Amino acid sequence: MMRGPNRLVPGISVAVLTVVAALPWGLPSESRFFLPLLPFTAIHIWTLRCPRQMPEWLVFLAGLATDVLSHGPLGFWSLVLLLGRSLVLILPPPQDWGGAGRWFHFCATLLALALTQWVVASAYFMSWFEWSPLARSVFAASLAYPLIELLLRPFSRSWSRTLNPSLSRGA
Amino acid sequence: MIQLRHDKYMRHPARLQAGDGRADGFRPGLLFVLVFVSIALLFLSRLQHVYVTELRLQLAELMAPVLKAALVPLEPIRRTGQRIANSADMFSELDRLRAENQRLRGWEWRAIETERKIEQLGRLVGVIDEPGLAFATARVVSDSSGPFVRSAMLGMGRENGMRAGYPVINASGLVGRIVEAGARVARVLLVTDINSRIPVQIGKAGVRAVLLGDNGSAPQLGYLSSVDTIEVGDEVFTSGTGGLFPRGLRIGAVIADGLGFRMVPHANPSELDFVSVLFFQSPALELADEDKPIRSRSEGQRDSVARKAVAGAAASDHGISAP
Repeated sequence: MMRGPNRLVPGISVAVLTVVAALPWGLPSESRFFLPLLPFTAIHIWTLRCPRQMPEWLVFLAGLATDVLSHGPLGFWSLVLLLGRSLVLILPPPQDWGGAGRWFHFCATLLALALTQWVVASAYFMSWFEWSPLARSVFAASLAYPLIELLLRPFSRSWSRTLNPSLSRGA
Repeated sequence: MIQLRHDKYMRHPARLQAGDGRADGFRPGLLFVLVFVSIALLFLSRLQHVYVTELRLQLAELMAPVLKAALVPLEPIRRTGQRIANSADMFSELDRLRAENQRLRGWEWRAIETERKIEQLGRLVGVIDEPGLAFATARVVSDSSGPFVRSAMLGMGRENGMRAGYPVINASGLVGRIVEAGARVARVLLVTDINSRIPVQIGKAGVRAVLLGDNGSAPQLGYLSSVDTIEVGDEVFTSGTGGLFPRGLRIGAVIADGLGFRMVPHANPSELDFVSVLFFQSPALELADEDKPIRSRSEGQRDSVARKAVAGAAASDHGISAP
């Protein structure tokens, strides 16, 4: 269990990535599909590390904020992110997998989320949605994952020390 | 023994914290409720329910200050990126601009001559000059992303005179129109959006058509009154039909498509930074702007903003003819 200010780190990191995803980066519309997946990278990382600090309601609010900032219909990203979090909790990566295993697990979850996006978008428009921008977004988000994990690692380490102070003392 | 347990615990807390050894933090009841709320919101959004629109605007207004603050560190990054992109094709761009400059000098002389003739003819028949369009310049604080819409959010709202239905342009041409206006933010529906329908005229012959957005980079030109006189590269302007847009706003150029014609917008939707909102008054605007109580309250504010804006400058800069 995280204590003190560390408790806020998962929520803050998701909020920051949600805002980053909404900023006008000058990317073409078809290349911006991966941006709303950035908050999910933090959700994946923190759900594996400390699931209690990444509760459903927080994921729902992150999704709602993403919906507002990405100008999409309300409820879409809430649904996708809640599904993603549930997948991470129900089917976590095997214990003996390292960083590469987590990345592989993230990519597999992304594929499932892309499929969900495609189904929901097709149902929303009542016509088959073009899948290629979604495929590109999965590729781009999978490249962003190691970078975001690297950026969050210091916070993750401080969490580990909070979780088990005896280890940090070398006991 | 304790050490080993702690090591395992640290590496895979999601598996080991819960009693069942698998899913700590997994509460099916709450998850079901939130998924249900998400689906309900999605359904109401599809129906464009007024409560959902209100909720979206209120949330957007709450987040607008955060986005504006986040734009400050982003600006140097964007500028650096643009400089790198520009320097890559600087020489070819220079050659193109030289050739274009030569061509435009010829056009400048012809334009001055035509303007003089129109003025003379106007005096002869006693034409009363149309008032120019006032405008306000706003900054794009966020872009849309995802499969649904192509829109941009402006950091100005009704407090600054914005109103649903107003056309939005930049230096290159028409960008779109405001579809939602809150107190401090406004959402612009881009010409490329799937919901965008704009009556247009094409080329010198003035062929009438409707510009149909499809969420792609080049919207379709549909309902063409005549196909024979259209050529690739022809300019596309707003026709003013329906009264939502003033006549003569340039939008883009025609390109050929296997099945018909499309249009490449002059204003690149991915490079929007500052845009101008035209305070274009028309009876059709009453239908577009449904928020009547707020509108009447902000009427005076809008007029004062409009007075402060440089009247007519937008019209001359962007080639607007009289509505």
